[in-house]
Amino acid sequence: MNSETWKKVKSVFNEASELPEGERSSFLAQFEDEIRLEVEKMLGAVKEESFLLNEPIVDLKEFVETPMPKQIGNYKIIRQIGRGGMGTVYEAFRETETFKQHVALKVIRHGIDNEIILKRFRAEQQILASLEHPNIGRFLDGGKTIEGLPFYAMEFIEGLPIDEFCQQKRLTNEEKIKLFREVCAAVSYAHTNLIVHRDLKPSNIIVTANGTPKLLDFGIAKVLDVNSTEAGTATQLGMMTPQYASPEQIRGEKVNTLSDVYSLGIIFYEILTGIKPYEIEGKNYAEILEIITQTRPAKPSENQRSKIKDQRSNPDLDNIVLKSLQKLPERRYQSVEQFSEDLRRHLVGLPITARPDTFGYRFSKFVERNKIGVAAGVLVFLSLLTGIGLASWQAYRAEKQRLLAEKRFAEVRTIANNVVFKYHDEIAKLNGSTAVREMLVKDATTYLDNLAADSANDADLEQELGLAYLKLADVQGKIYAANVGNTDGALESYDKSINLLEKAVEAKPNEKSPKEDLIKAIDAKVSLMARSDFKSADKFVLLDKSSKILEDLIKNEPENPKLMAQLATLYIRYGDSVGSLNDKGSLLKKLEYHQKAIPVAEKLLQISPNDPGNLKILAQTNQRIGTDYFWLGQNAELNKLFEEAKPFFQQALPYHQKMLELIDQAILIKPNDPSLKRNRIAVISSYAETISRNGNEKEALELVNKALSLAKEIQENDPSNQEAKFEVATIYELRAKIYSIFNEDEKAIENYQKAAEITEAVYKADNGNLESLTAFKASLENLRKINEKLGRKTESELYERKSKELSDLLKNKRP
Amino acid sequence: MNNQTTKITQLLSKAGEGSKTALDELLPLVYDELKRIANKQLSSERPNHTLQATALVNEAYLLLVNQHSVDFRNRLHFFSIASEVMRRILVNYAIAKKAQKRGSGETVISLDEVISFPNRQDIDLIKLDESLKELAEMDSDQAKIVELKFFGGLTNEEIAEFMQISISTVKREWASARAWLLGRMKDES
Repeated sequence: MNSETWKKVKSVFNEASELPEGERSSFLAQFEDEIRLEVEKMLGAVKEESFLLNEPIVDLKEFVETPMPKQIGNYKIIRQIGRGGMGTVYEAFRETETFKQHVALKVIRHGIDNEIILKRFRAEQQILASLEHPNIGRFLDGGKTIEGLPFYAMEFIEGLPIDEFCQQKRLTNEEKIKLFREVCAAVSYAHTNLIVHRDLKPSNIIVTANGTPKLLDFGIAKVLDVNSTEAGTATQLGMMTPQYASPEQIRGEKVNTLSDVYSLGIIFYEILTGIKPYEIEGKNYAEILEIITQTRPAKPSENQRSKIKDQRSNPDLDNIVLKSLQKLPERRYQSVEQFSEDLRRHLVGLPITARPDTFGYRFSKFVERNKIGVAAGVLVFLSLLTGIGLASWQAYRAEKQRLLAEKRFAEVRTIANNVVFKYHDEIAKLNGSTAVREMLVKDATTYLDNLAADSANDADLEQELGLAYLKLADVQGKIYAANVGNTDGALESYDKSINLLEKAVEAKPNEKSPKEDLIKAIDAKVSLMARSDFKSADKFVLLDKSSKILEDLIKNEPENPKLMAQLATLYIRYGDSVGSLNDKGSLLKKLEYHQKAIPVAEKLLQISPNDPGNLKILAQTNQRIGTDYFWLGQNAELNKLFEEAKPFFQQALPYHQKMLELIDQAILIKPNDPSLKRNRIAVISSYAETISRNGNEKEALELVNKALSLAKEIQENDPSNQEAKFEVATIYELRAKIYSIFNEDEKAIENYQKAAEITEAVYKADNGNLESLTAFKASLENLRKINEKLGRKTESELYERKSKELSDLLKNKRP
Repeated sequence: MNNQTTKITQLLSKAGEGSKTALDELLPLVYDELKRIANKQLSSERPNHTLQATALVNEAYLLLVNQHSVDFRNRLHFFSIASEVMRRILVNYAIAKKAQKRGSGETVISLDEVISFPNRQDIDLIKLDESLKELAEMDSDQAKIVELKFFGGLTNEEIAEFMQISISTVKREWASARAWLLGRMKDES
């Protein structure tokens, strides 16, 4: 447009503006299109935009010409802490003879009708000052400066706005919810006192250094709003912060407590995601009005702009937030309290009200709370979910929808982790679950493996995966625990686990948990190596590694029970690993290590006497020491030193007695724990053997029969549990030995044969289990001896041949 | 006072005498100074209160203006320059912010951190600046009125005095300028 046209447009516009709206179009009709259209556009724009370009963006005079006052009312000004659209905030104090009051003093900017505001302050002062709540910044008083500007004073609060606080402290969702519920409590309190905030926003919620949220400016919005009348409190457009304003507020309608519910919803959304639900930056009033009153916000967990990484899909929280953000007030929570209550219910896993109460939803909550009972159902459900999750991960990757893919990634990861850690552990408590556990953990580990391959150098993921491999290894072949009998697979998985956990330790040098996990994995592997690889020096390399880490950890926390338990276990493992059973010197060394564990295990039990885990550790320690003495006796016998053997057998007895007592005590506390049941069998067996060596055949046989029936019961209930089979064999072997000691040879032969049958089968199914092979060979050897003694030549030669074959095989396997 | 502020002082008085080049030179200096102060504040050990970021501008202006305002014989003349400087600072911020959004990598303090908008309502300053340039071509006085009012916060009375026109003219000219700008900004959005 040239200057001439513009001049004409201007004067027509000025004239038209003077006219009542109804007469404008007929007035404009007389002008040519170029002029008329331009003026119409200008008039329309003014009508549409009530606040854009209305107030200066900068008020230079405030910066330049208002020197900081020394005193306002009764308050001495210390410094200016801020300046906003509303006015200037000072840190100030009031001193009387008895106390010094520290305040934040806000001077309202001129341009607002001062007289009305002052009147309001006087009217509201008492109500505002009566709001007394630990989470509400106290209103102290209002007045006017010598220039006639209104001001008010409130409790001085130092801290961060809630959004910044959550970001800086990197609060978890749970912590955020807890913090936010404190805010809700304060708003709810004000509501019961009939005070609506009307301008809730993060900058009005300050969290102090000790984590207490404080709400500022309660009731102030109403006072400052010149348009509000006593009857209703419609908000003037200029007074509010559009991002936090409810649809009714933005339309200039009446405001009530439900508007605060809405604003709290927006704040909660922002806290959860790090972003605001609506993008209204740079939009004009009409657009903002449309967005806030018409568009549905994205679910917090699905908002692609979200700044909080690793946001897991959380339907409960999504529904709670969306309910608080309903456009129609009557569809929101009907009070802040209800809002807060739903958040509480979500925290403790109860069904929330903010969603349709469908069967599926109630069922999923039930599952969450009763994991064991529905384990089987959950299994099917999860395997489905996991499969779907992985498929979508790949699909999305192919489409390069990075954000969605990341979300799927997090979901799959969550599910896989739940399977490995939550559900597996619950299912492991069930009898007869070994085969199912293996499938479960194997699948989950595969998913995690895929995820790890797709995301290099994620220390958290490495740790999770390391733990998953540890679980997998355990179920594949953990020694003396329910497993499916895959020793080689287990050793490989332990190696992977140790490898990954070492990386995690390196990446997170200041974190305890990866270190503890690594020690656990090493312990499990070293234990299993006893079965496959009796003399490997690697065991000590690994144990020394654990020892070093543990030493460091214990230095900082000498009384930490978890670390103490690991230390006791480490001593046990050193004792188990050192030397052989055929040599007195190394047996004494074992004894020395095992005895080191005693004071640690005893102290541990003192700290919490009824902890089954602690009872078990002390029982294990006693078992080891008793067995060391037992072997010392056995060793003396082999060397024909019968007199030396006896006291050793006697010394073994009290230790084995003690271990049985401790395990029985643990079982009283946890009667259904399968691992304790298995421990008890092993313990009874050791005790039976010791007793037999002390000359009591009857008691020894009673004990061994009991152990056998318990072991058979476990084995029959969990047919895929190879460890249980092996245990049954061990007890047959033991019973055979006892019969043989008391010269009941036929019975001994029968039992040796049964033992050999089983160990042969176990070995054939699990070629890595050399312990089983060794046991098989030992049974054959015993059969040879006993047949020889009875003069049965054919039989003894047969067993000798077989036994020789096995010796060669063993030599091949373990050069 | 550091070298930078000395330089700013000199440029300010030259600009006050009407030197256009001085103003061009002044702008990046003021801009940098503002950024320096902002960064300092934002990284300071103890963020103190809700509105602390808005004090930045205050501090920048105290630094620029307080000790120098005596150099200006005409107080309104200073405001005229300051409004223009302010406009450029804000528009540059808006441009930098937009660039940052596109991922240029340069860290800038977001505009609303530096200046608290009245009611925290954002305006597309880049568009406004362009429209204002157009308006200046049609009517430079009117554009100046907008600048003084919007980027300087001068009252109608002050603008009238500074521009040697009547108060009612200021009001009328402002009204049509605003209406046109609003329409123009709507156009392009």
